Amino acid sequence: MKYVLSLLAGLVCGAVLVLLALYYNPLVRENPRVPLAAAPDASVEVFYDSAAGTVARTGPTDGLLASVPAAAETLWEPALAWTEARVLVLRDVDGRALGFGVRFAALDSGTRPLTGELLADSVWTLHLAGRGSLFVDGMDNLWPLVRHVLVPAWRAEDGTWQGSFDGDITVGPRPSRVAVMTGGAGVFAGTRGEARESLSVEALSLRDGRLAADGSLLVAITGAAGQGGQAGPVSPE
Amino acid sequence: MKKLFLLGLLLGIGGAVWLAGWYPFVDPVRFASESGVARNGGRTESFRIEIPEDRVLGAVAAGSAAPSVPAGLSLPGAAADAAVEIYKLRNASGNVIGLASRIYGGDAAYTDWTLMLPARGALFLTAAGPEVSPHAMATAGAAAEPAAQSSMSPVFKILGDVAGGSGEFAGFVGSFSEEWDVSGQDAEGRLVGRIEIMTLTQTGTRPGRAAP
Repeated sequence: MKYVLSLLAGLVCGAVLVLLALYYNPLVRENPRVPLAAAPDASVEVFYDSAAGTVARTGPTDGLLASVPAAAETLWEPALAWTEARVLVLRDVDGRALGFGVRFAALDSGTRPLTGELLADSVWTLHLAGRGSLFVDGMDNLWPLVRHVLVPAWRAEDGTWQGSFDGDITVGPRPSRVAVMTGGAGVFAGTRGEARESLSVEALSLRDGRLAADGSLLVAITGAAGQGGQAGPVSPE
Repeated sequence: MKKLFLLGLLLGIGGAVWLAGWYPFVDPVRFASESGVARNGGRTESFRIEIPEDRVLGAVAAGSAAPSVPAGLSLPGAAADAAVEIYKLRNASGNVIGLASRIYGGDAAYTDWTLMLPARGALFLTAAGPEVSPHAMATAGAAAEPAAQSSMSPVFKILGDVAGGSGEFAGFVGSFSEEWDVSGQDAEGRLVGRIEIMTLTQTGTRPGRAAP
């Protein structure tokens, strides 16, 4: 019996060592901020959203975040596992509402904790009132969010985390680690571009599924007749 | 005993590394694509939404007659008649394979669809119109011709273009049709029936209109 216990103790210690090494791994970088490679005639717009501006949200039945409204239909089908749908109000830098944003996200099967990759495919439909729609396809790495927000909240006795997390979550699908604007409608018809999403989290409560966060989506549109948003040069900042 | 502990330690490290590096943690159910080849070139694929059960979320602007935007949120005036609906999306066999959003309204009527199929990609569809909503058309049709509502009948159809795509749909151009087949309304006044989205796509040049 003691031989079995020794073997089991070794197994557990080995697994815990790897878990700690993964969690504190200094070789896993935070998502790097990369510039958008926009054409000289690109129009750059920044759209701001916040968890408080969530019009509607749903996800898996046993998801971390609460549905809005609470009675919203959940995504319980097997093909929609680890999938989320969210409708947000988009604002400009001064807080003026510009329109709706619809964000779909689903965890990607390429997720590999060993390399610090918790990947999710995200699809944005940005509907700007009186102008048209932009379609953005991105790949996000949520590992920094898990490491700095979710795990601390999970470890806390009351299941809450408060602090400050700022970072880019976009890591693809372009090899240059930016999202791609795949098309548009209305005044954006025929346009293409690149995008990058950032997130700033202030609090998370696992107890009631509440998240206090602000987000921004920087889009460089080539060949656009866009107006509004926050125009300016494309920079890594 | 010490050797056994060390052996366990190595096995534990090896097993955990394998799990973290190669175990498919995210392995949801996926259905094979049910796309086909069009007679005169191009790729066809149809999607289905059963209403009202596949309607997940809905939101309309604050200026609408039935606002669902939380208090304290305001949308720009031009979006006063805009609305967004989220649906579960099925393949032609009826299996749920993804999500779809339908944004519609505006002064110049428009309809924008985003079809998101996890692990496959997304299709972005856009169409001008309609001036009248499917609900209004179905209600008017039922009033004018009550017998027609006893069986499934198409009450609404628009044609549009593929505005973009990602994943396996990257670089696709083409067209789509959106058709509402409605059999009536439920006790809450919601339409009962099916929305059919048929796409005709190809890479490179734009094929003709989707012709279901």
